[in-house]
Amino acid sequence: MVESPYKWEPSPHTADLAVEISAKEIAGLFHAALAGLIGSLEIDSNVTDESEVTEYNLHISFNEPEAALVDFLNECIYLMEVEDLVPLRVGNLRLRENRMDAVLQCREVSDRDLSEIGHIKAATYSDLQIENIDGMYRAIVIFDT
Amino acid sequence: MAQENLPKYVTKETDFLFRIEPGFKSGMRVPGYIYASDKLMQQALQDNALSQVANVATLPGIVYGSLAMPDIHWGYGFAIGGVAAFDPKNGGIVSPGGVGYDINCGVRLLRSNLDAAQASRHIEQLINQMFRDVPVGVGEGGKIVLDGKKMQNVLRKGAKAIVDEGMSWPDDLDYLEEGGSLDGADPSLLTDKALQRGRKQGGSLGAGNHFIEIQKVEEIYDREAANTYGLAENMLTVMIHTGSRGLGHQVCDDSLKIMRNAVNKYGIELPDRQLACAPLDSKEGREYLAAMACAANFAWANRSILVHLVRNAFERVFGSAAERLGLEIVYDVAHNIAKWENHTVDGKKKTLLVHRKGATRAFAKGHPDLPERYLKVGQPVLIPGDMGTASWVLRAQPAAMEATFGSTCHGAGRAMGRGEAKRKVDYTKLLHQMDEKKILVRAGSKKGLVEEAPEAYKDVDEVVEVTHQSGISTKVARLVPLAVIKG
Repeated sequence: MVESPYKWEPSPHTADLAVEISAKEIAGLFHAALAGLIGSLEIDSNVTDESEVTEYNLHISFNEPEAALVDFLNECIYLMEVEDLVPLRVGNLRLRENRMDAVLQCREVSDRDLSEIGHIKAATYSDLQIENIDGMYRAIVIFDT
Repeated sequence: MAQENLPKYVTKETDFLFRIEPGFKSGMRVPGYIYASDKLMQQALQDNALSQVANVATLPGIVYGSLAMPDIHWGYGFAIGGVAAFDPKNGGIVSPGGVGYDINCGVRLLRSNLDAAQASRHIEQLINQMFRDVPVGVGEGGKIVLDGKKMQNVLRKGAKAIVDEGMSWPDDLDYLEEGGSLDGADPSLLTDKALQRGRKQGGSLGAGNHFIEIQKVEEIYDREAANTYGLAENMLTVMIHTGSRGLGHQVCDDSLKIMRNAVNKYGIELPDRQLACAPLDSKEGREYLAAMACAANFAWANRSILVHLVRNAFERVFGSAAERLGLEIVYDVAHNIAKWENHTVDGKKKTLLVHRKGATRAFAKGHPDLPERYLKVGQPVLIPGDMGTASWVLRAQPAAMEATFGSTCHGAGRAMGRGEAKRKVDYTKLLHQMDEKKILVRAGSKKGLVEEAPEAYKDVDEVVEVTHQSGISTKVARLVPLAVIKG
């Protein structure tokens, strides 16, 4: 299991939503990206009762880490929209050369969530480039809204 | 705009046209052309829009230029307002990024026999009825659950499927772009995920900038076109803006996964991954267009179901059949789509794949794709503005066929990001502002409404003025909002 310090913050974009994510390791970018998605939707990521948390296994094959990031986020959007699950945290994330396995810790979509979920249609590849700057991995993810 | 205020390689050609020379970015095969006033160009220079126009110009098989309409702004892949045509005989490609996630997001306009002043005492009841009847946001199910045969019918036949369901008038189809249905749709190409996302969203509005708006025709600028389109001053109209919902989003996402392998397979170099593409004569290219057609058909069907709900609401409030109320479709336009079209380039007729990403088709008079009633006048172009200002009906002109592959703008275009709008716009003040303008607002979420505040958008009147002055499509009618439902 890889756990890395990470952070996210909104990034300016005229038409859509963008987040700048950063982490000490590439795996941490996935934690940051999920936090950025949930944060941009202004969905409450706190869980008062851990018994409400369900787990969802995720497996992604990819050629480059940017593609993995987009696929990961779009899986999370799909979960919210179709499976009525809000992914809150990434657990047991294993990142190998062309494959990512993770366990998403989720809770059920609430009535309050419903008004927020539809605001992000998808994560895009636009201008997406993972860079290592001063020892930190960084990227900007643009969401279609 | 003085040349010194423009970046290197960008020149002003006319009052409303700027050109980006191929030297602007490495790999550009053709110039970029941006239709804009000085003011709109100044806004475009504030973000990445020009760079995106230049990126599109690097794609294989592009013809004549990478175009951008006056509502140009930063998008993803293509700029919003982007138009690009590709020649299959010259290695031309198709790119899902040139269509967008909301495949066939578009606009439909209904006219009526109602005078807005006389109907004014019913407007609140009408918008409340529509707000009850029309699912907004993603959590609400659509009015039809699309399983099995119903979904297959919708994906193959689009708006025609809704006529089959008895929820749409057969004559409606004549006034929808492509008759509300693209040929060549192949539902077998859609993933289970796409079908699942669309299953409960047939007949739903969605979120973001989608809306249903009750309007009044404030002013007529072209009497001949207005009469042909069935519009008159003070007429009550209804405009619907929505697209292919989650199904379209998933089709785009699924397709981009295939295309990102295709670029390696076919040796295509990209300045932006979102422009992932495949040659038009490849399996990947053909299959994308067949899947895209499914999503486009879903969107036309979706808008038809919403028209059915709107007509029902009118019937309930006015106590009269929708036919007697004259609730006919003026037109329906798609503004995120790629289509095979015939155009004349350097004096030669060519069949090209035209991508429009936040741009609208504008076929001038005489074009065989137009309904018979509009042949002498040309296609109506529907331009939704922000919820506090106005929307427009324009008339396509021959200049569009000559210069922009029969294309024009699609809306006001954003001037402010969603995050910035949330920081700067106060919800209570926004409601007060709309109240002062006597515009009733019903919204799915506070956040969504704030992001859609009028100040978040460019001046639609300016965008339309540039379009009019450039001659690609000219003013017919200005419509002002009376009441709006936002997702």
